[in-house]
Amino acid sequence: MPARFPSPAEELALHEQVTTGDPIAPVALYERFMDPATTALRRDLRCSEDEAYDSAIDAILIYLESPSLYDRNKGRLSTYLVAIAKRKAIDRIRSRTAERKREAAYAEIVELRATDPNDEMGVGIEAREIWQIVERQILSAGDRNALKLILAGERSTELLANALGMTGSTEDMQAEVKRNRDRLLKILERLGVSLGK
Amino acid sequence: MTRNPKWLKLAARRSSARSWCLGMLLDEYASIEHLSREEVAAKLGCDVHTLEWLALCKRPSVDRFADDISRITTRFTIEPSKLIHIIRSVDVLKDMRERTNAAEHKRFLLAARDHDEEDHQ
Repeated sequence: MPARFPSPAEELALHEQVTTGDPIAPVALYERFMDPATTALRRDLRCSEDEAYDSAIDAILIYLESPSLYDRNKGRLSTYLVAIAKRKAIDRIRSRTAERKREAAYAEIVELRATDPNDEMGVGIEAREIWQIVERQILSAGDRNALKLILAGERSTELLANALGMTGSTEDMQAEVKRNRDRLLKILERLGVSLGK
Repeated sequence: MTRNPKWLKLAARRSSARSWCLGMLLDEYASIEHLSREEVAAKLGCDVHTLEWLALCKRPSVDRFADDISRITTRFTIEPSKLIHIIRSVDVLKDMRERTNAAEHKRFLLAARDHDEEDHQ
């Protein structure tokens, strides 16, 4: 048999029990309201059982903390409690939906960025092999350091000049760094051709 | 109590976070005495489910303590002296803790004042 809310007379008696400070009034409230309230929440809002329980408990606790906020002339206690519980359940549903959206968006990003571990390993091996070839072609430590910076995307003239071990005026240095940069990229291009065979 | 609904445990846990609920006092007692829920239930002569129902109750008020104890213990068929013992134990310990804290705070203030006076001499 479906759970039913107490009769209006019983609800008034329960409210009286709460306002007079009866220590077992909360027990009576839980017993009489929890099942019908959670049934109403699940039917009307299609929330989960846990969400319905938590929201109905919220309503009972809110009422017990300030029973004077309930005005018996404005409506039944069950209507008042279910209205509070529904607000709480809607908050929970919104929060759950938002969390799922966030999780889905995050999963999408992770999926896009993640690479196959086998691919990553292959790329690593290939990079090591290429670098060994580069080391055979570029013997100067300065050139190698500068090339590492260039491959890392570094464009600072000062840093590249330092790596190349250059000194002098800024203007000269700029031109010199550019010349060396082009030279190293040319070497790389040539290696690319030979590697592509 | 004739039945133990699915929501009982959750309701007891949520109620125990409220200072006006008996649940918080029972949790405090368990913590002070280092007892499990089963052991607290045994102290009261009831089972764990009855302890969960008890947690939903309001704490007995000071001005009508005997009446409130009677209401609760009659409803759950508990020996009143056992519940009173638990409530008194928690109250006494909390009172002692507050007095100790107040005394320590006073000693701290006196020490701080003495230190301050020494600095100005």
